[in-house]
Formats: sequence, C-alpha cells, structure tokens
Amino acid sequence: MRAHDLRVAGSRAFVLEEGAGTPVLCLHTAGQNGVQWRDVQPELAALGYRVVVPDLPGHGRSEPAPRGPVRDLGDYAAWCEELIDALGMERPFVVGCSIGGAIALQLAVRRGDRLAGVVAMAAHGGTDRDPMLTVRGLERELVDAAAPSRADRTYHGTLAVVGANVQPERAELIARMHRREDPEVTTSDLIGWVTHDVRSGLPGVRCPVHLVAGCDDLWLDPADVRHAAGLIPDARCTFLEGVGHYPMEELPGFAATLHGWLTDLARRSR
Amino acid sequence: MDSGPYFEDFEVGRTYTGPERTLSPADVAAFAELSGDRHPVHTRDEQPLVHGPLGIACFFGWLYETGLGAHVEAALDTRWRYLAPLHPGDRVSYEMTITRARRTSARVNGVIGRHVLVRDQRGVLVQEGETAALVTARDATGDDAQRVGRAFPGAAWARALGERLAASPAFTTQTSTWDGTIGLRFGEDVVQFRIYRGRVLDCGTRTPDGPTFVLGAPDITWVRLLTGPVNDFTKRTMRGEFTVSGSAYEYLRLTSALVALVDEARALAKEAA
Repeated sequence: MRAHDLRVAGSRAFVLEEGAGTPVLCLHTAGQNGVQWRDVQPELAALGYRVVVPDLPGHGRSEPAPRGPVRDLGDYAAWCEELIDALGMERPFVVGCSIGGAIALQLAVRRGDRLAGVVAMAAHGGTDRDPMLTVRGLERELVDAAAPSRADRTYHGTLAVVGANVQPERAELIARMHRREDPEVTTSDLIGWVTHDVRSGLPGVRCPVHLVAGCDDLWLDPADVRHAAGLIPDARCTFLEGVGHYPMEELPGFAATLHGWLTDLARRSR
Repeated sequence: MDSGPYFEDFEVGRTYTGPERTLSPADVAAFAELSGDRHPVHTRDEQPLVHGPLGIACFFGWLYETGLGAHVEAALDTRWRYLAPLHPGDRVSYEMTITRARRTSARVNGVIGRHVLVRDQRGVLVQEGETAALVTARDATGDDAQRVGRAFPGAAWARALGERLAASPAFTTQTSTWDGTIGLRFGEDVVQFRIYRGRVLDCGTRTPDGPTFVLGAPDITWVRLLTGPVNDFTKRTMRGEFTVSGSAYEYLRLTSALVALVDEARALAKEAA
C-alpha cells in the first residue's frame, strides 16, 4: 500500500493506493474518511485493480479545503477530477457511497466519456422526495457545531441505519468509528446532499452506471433510486437485503461483490 | 356471556385480527338512511364513497362478532382518522392492539385503551383510530403488581421505571452531570422523572418546576417501542414518530440517557409479559 501526500485544489490531500490494474476511485460518506474502505481496498487490489482511496478535503488526514467546509458536492466532484488527473488514472471506475455516491454520479455527468463506469451506492443524484434533513435545520446545527451529544447522536444514528444482517459487533465497530467526525464538516457535507441535483444531466451520462441501495437504509427512499435508474441510459439497479446505508462496511466480502459489478460495467463500457 | 376476555386478559401490546368484512352497496345505502347522511358523495352513481363512520360502526360490530367485546360495560371515547377513501364493495379488515390497561379504583372493572388499524382488500391503510372501553374484571383482587411493567403511563409504572433508572449504570452515568426533569407524553398524558446528577428524585404526573423537555408520541408508538423485538428508538425518532417540546437542547443532550431509559422501560415491560 502506498500513501500519497499531494496538493489537490489548493490543499494537501491524503490518498491511499494499493494494487495494479484497472483504476478504481473509492469515495467515502459524509463526515467520514477513506478508512471506511480499509477492508475492501486490499481485497479489491488482489482481484486486479489499482484501488485509490482518498480522504475528501476536511476529512481524515486531508487538510480542509482552502475556503472552509465544502457545501457543494460539485466542488468535491471537481476535486476528484483533479485527483484522477494528478494520479494519471486512465478511464477509472468510480465507486462511492451516500455523498460519495452522489459525487460519483456528478462525475458520471461531468466526464462519463472518460470513466469505465460508476457504482453509486445510497445515492440517486438529487434531492430526496421525502427529505429527512433541511438546510435550515442543518444551518441551525452549524451555529453550534458541538451541539449537545453530537458524538452520541452520530453513534446511535449510525446503528439505526446499519442493516439487520450485520453482526452486532460489526455494527458497534462501524458506529464507534463514525463518531470520529468533525461535526462542522459532516453538517456541511449534508447541506451538500440536501441541495445537490444532477438529475437533469443523468439522461446524458456516457458511462455505464450501477445504482445500489440497502433495503434497511432509512436515509433513502427506494423510489428515488428507481427513478434515477430510469433516467440513466441502461442503468443497473440493485437493492441489498439486510443491508443499510454503508454496504462497503456492512457486507462481508464486499470486494468480491463489487468485482462482479465492475466486471459487468466493463462489459458494457465501450 | 361467560366466554370472551375480561379486563385481566387484555395484555398491553397484544394484537388481535379477524376476518374481512365487506361494505356492500346495500350497507352504504342503509347507513345513509339510518344516519340521515344522504350527501351525494355517498349516494351518487359514479364512484360513491363509503361513509367514514361506517368504518367505525363496523369495528364495533367486529368486536361483537369476534367476542372481544363480550365483557365491555361501556365505550368511553373514540378518536378516528380517515386516511384513504373506501368504496362500496370494498372489504375491510381490522387490527386491534391493546395500548393501555388500568384498573379502576372500584377494582371490579378496568379501562382498556385500544388502537385500531383498518385496511382495505389491497392492504391499504384506510382508517386509524383509538377507542377506550370499560371492561369487567374477572375478580377484584387483581394482579396489578405483576402487570405494572405495562401499566404505562400510570403512577405505579412511573415509580417502577424510576427505580430501574436509579439502578441503571448507563442511565445514571449519562445523567451524572444533569439537573432537570424528563417528561414522557403518551397521547395526552405526561409522566415526569425529576433527575439530579444521576439520581431519580421524583416520578409522577407532577413535579414542582415541570419538565425540562417532553418527549411525546401516540400510545401505539410507545407500545411498539416498549414491547417490540428491539430498541429501535433512534430509528423512530429519525422517522419523526416522536415530537419534543420544551428545551430541544436538553433533549439532544440526553440522547444516550433516553436510549438507556427505553432499554429499562423495555426490560420492565418484559417482566410483565
């Protein structure tokens, strides 16, 4: 495994890379960091991929973006494009979850012709039809980013959206790891989620796309995911039984599952 | 009338279902005549609507038919919501869950709270309501002590929960820097727990300063939370099933304490099962 410490969009970025072969960019969820991919990265690399896992700006070991916490998922997409070019990733796959999935769909819209394909998990390219979050509520939370018991709420909130099939010890580990966030960054990420919308660009996407959602994911309305799948030419859509909001952390042997999806995307890629 | 359940037989959390009932065009026409509600929406030829209250009336018929109403002495109240239209010829089914059971001071009977879901033949939820009834007790000696774990939101239940909270390391640790009063609202009834630095000073329907915040939900939500298979309190809050009044800040501050409180209330309910 190799660590990169490079400048992307004006700040220092921390990126872990492993393996050689088809490049894959793996994007984490709101407020979290690349550590969410720690089990998947070596297993996927062993299957013949160059697996690149960044910490988005302000997350993990990456410095904050120069203008502070990012509220526009388009800024993250632009950051990813710069990273893809800086690391010389030729026609990579992009795999992301939650805001990472939304960023992956943004990349599909922006430069699908230069991607091998996109797996967007827990994302659907636009605002939720029945939103659980509002910009106003999130702005209120930002006024006091250390709003009471924030870490406890992240812990219990994570447990609430982990799937029923996940062993209790694994769910506990995921929830404990998720406590390690900067609430200001997470909340800004979520404002990005609430306000992003690239659905008008989905019909023009020029790479194969696979949308994936967990059946136990409280954050997502399956109808939104199906709708997005209907907008993207020839998109695949999979719902995972017993899985929640974090498939790459919840599913044992996720790398093999992902390998299957990527193989399918590659077959459909020009 | 010796068969059929007495007050003691209605366990909070228990759910009853039964056969479907067809609401025929003749039923709707008869109901229009009987009630005098001959409004065109019920009598027109094109897509007439079943009278909403016919759904209520047929619930009481269902109670009689199933024998569940055998020892009912009086109906006390009914609150009902009409969620989706019914048309003549539709078939409805009822699902009744016991939400409260409180023996009266006379001890010969008790008040039962019942939550009712009404679905059509497609499974669509068309009506939902609550209705309380006075039900004869089998005997006046009573087994109230064994039933206290599900006697929410009564005073005896509040005291029993208060004792458990005082002995719960998770709850006392999470409230060890706190000074305030937790209010829990069941429908319209609030019980309070006065907490000072991890100690439970008082429990009941009144405290001198009143609650710092009140966490509220309909009876059925509490029943599902406290008698269901897992503590899914966080999921239910995320789905908006609970409302909070008073200090939202202090409510958030007690996030983990409330999960611990629900754990204790669930353990208490299990004792009474």
